[in-house]
Amino acid sequence: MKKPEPPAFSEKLVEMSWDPVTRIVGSLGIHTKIDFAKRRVAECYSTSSIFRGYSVFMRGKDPRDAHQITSRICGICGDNHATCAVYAQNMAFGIVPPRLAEWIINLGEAAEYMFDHNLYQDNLVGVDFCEHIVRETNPGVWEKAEKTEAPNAAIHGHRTIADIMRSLNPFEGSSYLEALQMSRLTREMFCLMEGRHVHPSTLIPGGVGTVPSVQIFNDYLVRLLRYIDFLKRCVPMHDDLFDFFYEALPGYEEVGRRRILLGCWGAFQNPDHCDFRYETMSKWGREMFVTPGIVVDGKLLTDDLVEINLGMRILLGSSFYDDWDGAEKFVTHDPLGNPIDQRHPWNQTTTPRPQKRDFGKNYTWVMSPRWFDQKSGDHLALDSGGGPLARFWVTALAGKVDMNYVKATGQSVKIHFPKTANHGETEMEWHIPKWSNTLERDRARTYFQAYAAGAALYFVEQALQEVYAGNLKVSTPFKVPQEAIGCGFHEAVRGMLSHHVVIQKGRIANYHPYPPTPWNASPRDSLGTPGPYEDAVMNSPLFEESAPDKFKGIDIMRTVRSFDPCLPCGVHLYLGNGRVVERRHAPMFGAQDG
Amino acid sequence: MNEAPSELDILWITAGLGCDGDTISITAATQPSLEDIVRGIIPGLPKVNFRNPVLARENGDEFMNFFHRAAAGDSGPFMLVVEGSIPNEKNKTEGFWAGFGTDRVTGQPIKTCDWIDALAPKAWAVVAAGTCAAYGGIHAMEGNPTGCMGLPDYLGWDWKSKAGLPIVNVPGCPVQPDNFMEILLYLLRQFVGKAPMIQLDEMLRPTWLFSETVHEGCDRGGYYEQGDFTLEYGTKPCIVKLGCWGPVVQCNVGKRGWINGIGGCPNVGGICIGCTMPGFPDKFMSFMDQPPGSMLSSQAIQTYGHAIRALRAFTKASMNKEPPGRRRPAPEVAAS
Repeated sequence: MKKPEPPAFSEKLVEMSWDPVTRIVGSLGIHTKIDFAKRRVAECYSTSSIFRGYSVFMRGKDPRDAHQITSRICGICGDNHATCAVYAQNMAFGIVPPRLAEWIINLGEAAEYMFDHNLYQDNLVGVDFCEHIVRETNPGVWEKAEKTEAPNAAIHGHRTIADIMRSLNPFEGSSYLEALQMSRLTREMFCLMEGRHVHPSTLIPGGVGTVPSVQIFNDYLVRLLRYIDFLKRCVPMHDDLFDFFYEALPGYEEVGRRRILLGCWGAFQNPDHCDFRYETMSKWGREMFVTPGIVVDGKLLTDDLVEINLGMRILLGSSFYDDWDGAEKFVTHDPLGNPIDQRHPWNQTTTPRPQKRDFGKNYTWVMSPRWFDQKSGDHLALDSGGGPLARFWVTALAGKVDMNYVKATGQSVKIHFPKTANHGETEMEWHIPKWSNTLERDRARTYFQAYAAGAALYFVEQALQEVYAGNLKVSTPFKVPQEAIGCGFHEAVRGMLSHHVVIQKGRIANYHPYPPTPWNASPRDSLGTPGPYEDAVMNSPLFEESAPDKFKGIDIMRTVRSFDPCLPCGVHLYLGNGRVVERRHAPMFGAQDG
Repeated sequence: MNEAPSELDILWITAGLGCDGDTISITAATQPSLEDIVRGIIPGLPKVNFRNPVLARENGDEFMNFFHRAAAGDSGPFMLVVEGSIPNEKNKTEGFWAGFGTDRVTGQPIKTCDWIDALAPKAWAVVAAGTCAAYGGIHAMEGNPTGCMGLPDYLGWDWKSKAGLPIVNVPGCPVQPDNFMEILLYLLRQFVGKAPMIQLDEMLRPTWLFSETVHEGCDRGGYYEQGDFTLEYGTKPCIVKLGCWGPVVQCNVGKRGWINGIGGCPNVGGICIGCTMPGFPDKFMSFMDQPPGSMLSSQAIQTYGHAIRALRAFTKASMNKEPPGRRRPAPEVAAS
């Protein structure tokens, strides 16, 4: 396959890299060429500089260990991996956990969303919006912020937008410090359900080892209510902050904007429907409490997990691996008889090939997952919108979720909270935004904390009903089959997550996890399509006021961080001592044989 | 040193083969919390400049300059913390397994190993955060392509910092939040001359946290003693037959809990898979099989345990009855 040539240009570009991009999990580098005359990013390359080799060293291991091993993929959402692995194990082993076990897992995962989004939003992303940074990069915006009253001041207590920004200063501001504390409270909730954070101790195929009691659910509930009380202040504060940016910097909606290409693989199983059989996956997938689906240009393309599964393709093009074209085909057909592509995770063979980084050739350890759309014939470079944006968008459009506190309406999601210590009953509503851009990814992250909290209220009630009825079983016994396949679909905090396993002779023959970051941080694929970070940064306007020699790349950083990168890998961007490159064409970054 | 230095940089490299889970974990700590240290809340400690990529305000080169300056000998005293296992970069012809920052001259990633080579000799102390950095951990599992190892395997088990400290290993996958921060606090006190040399065992673990086994502090120890073992997850008795390695694993999590006393492993129903141990993970897999060594001990305890349980049941039944005489007197018959 031949990549198309990049567009010719003849401007003065400055090469700037940020390596590592800090305040994310993992090692990510962002390498750009910036056109300061037009204040735009002309080119962007996303790199990851770490390889560990899970798919390699898991071969031949006991399939029962998959959740314990894969949890270690990620240090902030390891439990999402463990959960997804358990879903895949359940399918492969042919077992269904007792209902109470599903409520416990849902409660654990809800706490993870609450913890992680909160910590990431106010301790990592929030710093990009804090006083120190805004003063430095956009003195004009800072001045305006000082004069702008916060519309929701009466609720959150910050009189001006500048006060909100001050509260986000690292290790000083009140919002920053409060987020650290709330992230501990939500991690306690998590540990009540899954034992340890971030690598859970009590998840197992067929259920959990957690000992259910009235006590653990009450302990969870009282903490949840404290967190909801906090959210009633936190969500309006973020609304004020993000709305202000649109107002202070007209055109900011273009920052980090890309085509609406969102994927969500669904979260929170519904034990009334889920039997973990592949044959019925389309049906029970639609019953999940976050609906799985793909949104293209604002339309829901599918909400069918089987269709989602069949469309997965892993492309190379710019990654440090050997191709697996002629390698073993583990799965020719799915259990429904549909053919499975050689480039599907079930059939992938991972062979790392370490080499020099070369932006004209291969430059990253991340591969390029794409979703093959049968109708258009396109390999879509889906992104997760940082997780919440895709989850909300799909769930809102599908209009199926209704769990008392959280309701999807077809164009929005409503969240209703009971009264808490300092605030009365509160309704929040997330509306489908006009753009898939930096600020809307960030806004959705705040609202999804509320979604997860509302869902948790519902799950606690369901769990207590089981306990009151004496249904205390939380695990289902199983045997590992000699030959089997399985797949799990879930939402990691930052987006779509899948695990695919092939079992032969009772051992793992092939295992491929696809977390959100390979989707989001992927490089140019063999067809020449850039990955979502690259695509969102390229052509993004720059609103930073600093001169080139003092340039921080704040708009680029906000964009990359809006995706909530979690590579245990990296993005690199430097500036300040940027090297000026004058070129008429850019073929050196272009054509490449796939 | 006559006058104790008043400032210390903590240079934290997360670019081993890891998951950043140890950095995330310490944000959960409260005894002390990270902000207690960074904001100088605890009396008598040096001013700490915490340089960790997950939490830094600075980005890219601005962030990397802290490390470049230290490598060039242009910084004040610093503690080097390494998270993630150390790859063998010599088992291939080109490229890299782990890099941290970009070399300004070659445009290639700077290998994590090169950073360790440059920084360790200049560091006041070197700390391995988590089992990966301490012993290799999950990424050093049999069949791995990277040939990775722990920091003492890389630098040498007898390695000493220029201040005479051995490598300080803080195992755990990830580190228990308060364990790590407590060790950090100890080292900061040692740095200003207020605490003696940190006590480490032969595997370089702080002795006061890692000398007891999980079993010695386990909530389920009483069930074990009474020979009461479960074969079903989610129940209360001892889970050694489900694969728990607690009886031989040196770790305090069962007793300390995971965060503010909540959570843990066997105490809350999860088997101990030995994640603090040098033999992790290979020697503990398949995790869900009963540890071979426990077959004999659990068998032996059953005879004694069942007898004791029966006797206790008898005593317990007796203790569940109130002493005689505690009853309301019968109503007096009204005089006619």
